[in-house]
This record gives sequence, structure tokens and C-alpha cells, in this order.
Amino acid sequence: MRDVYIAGIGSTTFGKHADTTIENLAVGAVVDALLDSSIDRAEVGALYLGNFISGPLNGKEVLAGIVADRIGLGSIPCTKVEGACASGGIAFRHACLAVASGQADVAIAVGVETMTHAPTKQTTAALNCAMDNENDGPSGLTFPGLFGLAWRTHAERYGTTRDHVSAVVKKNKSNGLKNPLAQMGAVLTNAEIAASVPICDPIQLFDCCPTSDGAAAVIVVSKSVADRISKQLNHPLVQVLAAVQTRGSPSIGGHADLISFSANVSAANLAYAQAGVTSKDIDLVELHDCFSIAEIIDSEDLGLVPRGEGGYWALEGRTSVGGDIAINASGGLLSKGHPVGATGIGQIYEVTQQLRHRHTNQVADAKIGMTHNLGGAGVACTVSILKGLM
Amino acid sequence: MRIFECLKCKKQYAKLGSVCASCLSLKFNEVEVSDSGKLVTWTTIRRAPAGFNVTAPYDVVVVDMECGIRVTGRLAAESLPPKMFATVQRISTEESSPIFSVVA
Repeated sequence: MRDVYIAGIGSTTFGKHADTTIENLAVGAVVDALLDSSIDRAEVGALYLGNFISGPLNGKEVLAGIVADRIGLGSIPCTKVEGACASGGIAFRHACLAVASGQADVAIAVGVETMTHAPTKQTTAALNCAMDNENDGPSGLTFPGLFGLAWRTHAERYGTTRDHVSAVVKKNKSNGLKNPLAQMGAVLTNAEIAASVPICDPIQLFDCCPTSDGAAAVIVVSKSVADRISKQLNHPLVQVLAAVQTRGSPSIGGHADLISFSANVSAANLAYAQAGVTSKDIDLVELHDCFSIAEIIDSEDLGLVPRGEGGYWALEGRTSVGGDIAINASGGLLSKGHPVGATGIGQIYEVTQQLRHRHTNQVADAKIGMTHNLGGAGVACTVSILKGLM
Repeated sequence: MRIFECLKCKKQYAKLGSVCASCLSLKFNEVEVSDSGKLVTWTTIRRAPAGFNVTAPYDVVVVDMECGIRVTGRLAAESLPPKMFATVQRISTEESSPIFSVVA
């Protein structure tokens, strides 16, 4: 397989875009990414679009072809991919595969979602389609509820407390204040978090990511293209060392242990092997903190924090910028927002900015970064490892 | 409680699928197993999903059944409060969700 490089990135802000159609959000991010890459659109050989629920929420499908049409791309394969919250990460992997396999020298990965355009009930009903509605849905379980189940198990086994989990919330909300793309940065106290509305015990309102609109895009290229354009760029290239995807159980009954997702563990192991690095080499990670406890579980599954110590590391500041491993310097889903299909590409955007040393919440001397995107009840996971070529 | 067992490899399922994921056999037996199990974890849902016909709050529970399968269900409103690793008994099924009660 050929080497793959990130030549350009683009992103809208994450939050409310009430007056912008879903395809125009995606178009804006793609055009920004193309301009950032200095590549002519005529060179684009494939486009992959990550989106989860444009059908039920926007009444729009075939979005990949629509976006390509709006920006005048040629008669190239344009494919929408879906893996619930991991849709963006899957789109990125497919774009990388198109370049790595030689099918294209330039490929676009774009993720997009508009969740605030529909009434909240319609949005939550659509989100619940990512659940195994044969096995888990009939109980009345929701996604916050799934992570309430996981939190209680983690607390029982490792002594994880409200204050441990609140440390994650405070860190990510605070990081969001430094990110101009973030939806809701804030300075919060333990008391404010503990007093927030109960959602699914022990999950409370500040433990949940918001619903968001947004789009992000990445241009990936082959080595020959990267070599040609490198002198024209006003930023360094970023190499994709690994872009992997794995499957876990779609239902709770299929998970051996509710404080770990097997797809996380297998994706991380595969990505480390593919990249030829270990967890010790990772300077920062953007991981899937859809709920606060998820960050703790994910950080342990990815081997970045010892099992059971995720809450303790957060409380001790070891996962803050400047700590042992910077987790979600962007503010993560909790603060930056979670326009579902855009999230995985948004993570690539954030890590690329870090590896260019141009992030507004920069991790000092960042060389290698990781992204982690998880879908459904752990049924789909992508992990990417990126290296800055400073 | 009635579950489904693959005729060929004996793998058990809470819900009937079209094929056994373990051996791809198409044939299942419906078998009666104990209604008793151990509560693995739970959460109190305070905002029910849209269209769900049970009024929140209610407790969703994960139960390891004696037969060895793990199921997701709901605690009956009149049950004793949930407790980690409590013994629970399935007392009914509502719209394909098992309903459990904590055993005193």
C-alpha cells in the first residue's frame, strides 16, 4: 500500500447553523480544505462523505454526489458511508484506502450533520436508530442510559466517583473556550456539574455532548502529489501512519465487559501495529467523549491510561494539555459539539492543526497524534494515527 | 423464560435470529430456562425515548441469566430498588422486553 498524506483541512464551526442547508455546510468545509491544500479540484479522484441521519432529519440522501455536484467535481465515485457516530472516521479511512491502493492520487473525506434543524424529539428518535432495537431498545434504553450503565460498572470496579468524572467535564469545557470552532466552552465547578439536571443516573446534563450542526473535510494525497505541492503549501504535511476500522457488538449482551468496548481495543492494537508506534509515542488524542464517562473508558481501551485509572488521571491533570497525554485539547464532543457524521473528520482536523503546531490550544512539540471515533453501542470504531512532518 | 438454542452448536440467544452467528445453522429450538439472574448494572432513565410508551423515570437493567446469556430489560415499577449483583427474577415480558423484580 502507498503512503498517504493530509494536504488540506477545512471545518465549519460546530453549533447551530439554522440558515444553512446540510449540503452547503459540507460544501463550505470541502472548499476550505481544497484551498488549504492548493490542489485543483480536477485532480480529485474520489469523495467519501460521512453522515448518519440526513434521511430522517433532512429528507436528503445521496449527499456525497450532491456535494460533489455543487462544487463541480468530475465523474468520480462519490460514496456516503454510515456507521452512526463513527461515520466521519469511516469516511476518512475510505479516502485513505482509495489513495493507498492507487485508485486515486487525491481523495476527499467530508463529514456533515445538521441536528438542530429538526425538533428535538425527532432528532433523539433518529439517534436511537443506532441502538440494537431488537435486543436493547425495547427496554427503553437510550444512549445516555448506555453510558449510565457503563459508569456504574466502572464505579463499582475501580471506585470512579462523581468528582473523577467531573474532572473530565471541567477539562473539556475549559479546553473548548480556547477553540474558536467549539459550541460551548465553559468554566464549571464540581458543584455546578453535580447540580445539573439528572438524565440517566449517574449521567447528568453536563456529562452529555450537545446536539450540533457542522461539517469538516480533509484532502488526502499520494506521495507523488505530496512531493509536488509541498513547496506551495504554507503549512507542513501530515502523514497518515494508520487508519483502521473494527467491529464490536451492536448490543449490550455481546459485550464481555461493560467498562470496555472490544472494538476500541482491537482498533487501537491494529493502529499501533500499522503505524509502528506504541501508546507511549502518542502526544495527544482526540477521542470520542460523547458522554464524560466515555472519555475515561476510551482512554483506557486505547492503552493511553492504565485500566481503571482514567478518572484518577483526569483528576490529577495528567490528561490536560501539558500533562502526560493531552486528551481532547479541542474540547472534545462535550464542548466542541457532536454533529454526528462530522465528528470523526473534525477530530482529524484538530489533530492536523496540532501537528502543524497551529492549534489555538497547542500541545507543545506535538509530533504524533491519534483520533478515535466510536459508533452505536460499540459496533463500529475507527482509530487513526497521524505524524507531523515539520 | 423462553430463549432460542441453535440445534447444531447449542449457542443460546435471547431473540430469534435467522441464522446462528456461531455456526451459520438455520435451525433453532425454543427452550425454557430459569427466570432467575444476577443484576450486572442499571441506570435510571429520566427522559424516555420519543414514542416509548412507559413514563419515565424507570430503571433499565442488564442481567446475566442463570443459563449464561446477558439480557437488557427493565425493572418493574413495584420492584425493590436495584442493587449491584442483586438476584433478580423475570416476572413478565412487555413488548419483547423482559421485566425483572429484585429478589428480597
